[in-house]
Amino acid sequence: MRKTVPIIITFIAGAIMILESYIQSDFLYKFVQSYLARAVTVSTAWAVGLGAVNIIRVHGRRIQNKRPSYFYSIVLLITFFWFSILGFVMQKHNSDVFYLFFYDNILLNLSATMYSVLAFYIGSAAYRSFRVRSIDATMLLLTSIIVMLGAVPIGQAIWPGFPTLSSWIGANINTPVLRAMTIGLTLGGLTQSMRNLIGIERGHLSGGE
Amino acid sequence: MQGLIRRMYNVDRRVIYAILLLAMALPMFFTLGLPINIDTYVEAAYNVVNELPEGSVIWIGCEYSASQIAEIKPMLQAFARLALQKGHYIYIGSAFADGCTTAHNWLQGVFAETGAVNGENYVIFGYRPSFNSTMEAVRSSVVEAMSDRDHYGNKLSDKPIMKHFEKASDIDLVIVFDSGSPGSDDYIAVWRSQGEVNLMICGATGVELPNQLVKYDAGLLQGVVGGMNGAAQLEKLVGVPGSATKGMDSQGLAHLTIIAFMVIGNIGYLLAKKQDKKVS
Repeated sequence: MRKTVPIIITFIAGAIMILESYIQSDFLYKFVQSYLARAVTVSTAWAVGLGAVNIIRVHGRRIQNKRPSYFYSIVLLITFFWFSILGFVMQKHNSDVFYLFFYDNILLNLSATMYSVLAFYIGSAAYRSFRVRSIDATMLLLTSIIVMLGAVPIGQAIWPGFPTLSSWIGANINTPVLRAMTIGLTLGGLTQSMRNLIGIERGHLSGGE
Repeated sequence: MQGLIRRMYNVDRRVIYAILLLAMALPMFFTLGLPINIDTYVEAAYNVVNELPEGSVIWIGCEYSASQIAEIKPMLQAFARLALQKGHYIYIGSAFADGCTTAHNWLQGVFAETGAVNGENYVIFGYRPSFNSTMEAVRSSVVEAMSDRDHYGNKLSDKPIMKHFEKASDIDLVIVFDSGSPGSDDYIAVWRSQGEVNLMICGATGVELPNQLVKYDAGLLQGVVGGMNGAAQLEKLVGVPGSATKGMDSQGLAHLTIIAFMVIGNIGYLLAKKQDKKVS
């Protein structure tokens, strides 16, 4: 029962969504728009709530048991509650000046810093990994140099052909490979969806048989 | 000699970090100001917005998180500035929690500069979770899909700008700022493939650019602006240089530094290999 009912609901909902794309029917269209689409929004909102409760439980336990690096859990929970309270209490919610002060000066800067730090890791990783160990690795090294120089004005100043060469690599090598990958991924996604829809895939229903 | 070779292909990562930091920081004080070359796909994106008839309805999808500020902020500002100068109406939505909050922050200067009024020239819908269901609902009624509330909690149906935009088929152009999923793929699947929207352009982060160019080549996107380089090109086309233009010198020197390290590492690697052969 625990598995059969969700499988039946999944099949009916999925079949309606598929039919709505292929059959011109006002009834189906309205049903999808006014019921199924809203049901997904409500489920997502519940999932966000569930995630919040889970964060509090997991990190609350870490603090309670004084596990290694529990200090970071304290920081996480303080900021979590602080931003939640600000969002709820402030008159203009997340567009309130007071809320935005913390958003701009804490979250925005920390997020941008985390993302920017990648440049240093990539620099170090490129130095260590792009070695001329084989023909393949040499081709990768040369391509990366051309693309990097083609992407910045300084590359064009060194040799005006870099942007053209970089674009050629993008259009004639990168694009076909990405297309092939996309088609493969889409076929994989389609197969997985069909498995979910007809109940072959049951891993998400409390795992295992 | 052996010690030098070993050092060449085994430079401490902290040295790489320090030199990279210098390479990125120095151009902030000494501008190189190298000319910026315009790519065809960036020019195409600019032309789409520029050539739309006055009063067109433009949906701006802010599908990114705050961490992408360096790349997305300048292109968002440039597109919004161009659209408002041309007298278009812009409607900003997002399925990313940060999307509309950052759009509100980053566009205040552009709104003030162009004299745009909230509810008349632009509207920010606010964060809506569950992208597909919300976008599907916009196909029949945008006000209902947004629960008749904007980012600030005000009634949408009271705003004069909403009379130009009832449902997805009223949209003349979609500009998606893409940093992953949901992104331009999802807009294409929900709106474009259903025939609701015919013009779509994308502002993407640098890592997302190759994915967007595939769609541009296939005719699914009419223009693409990618990374800080693309944003700098757009700023040049709009005629208002901003943070992306300033950042290009830093990015250029950083690329050169990484290439220099790669070359040094490979020279060291080849010399060490040669020495090992001699010994054996």
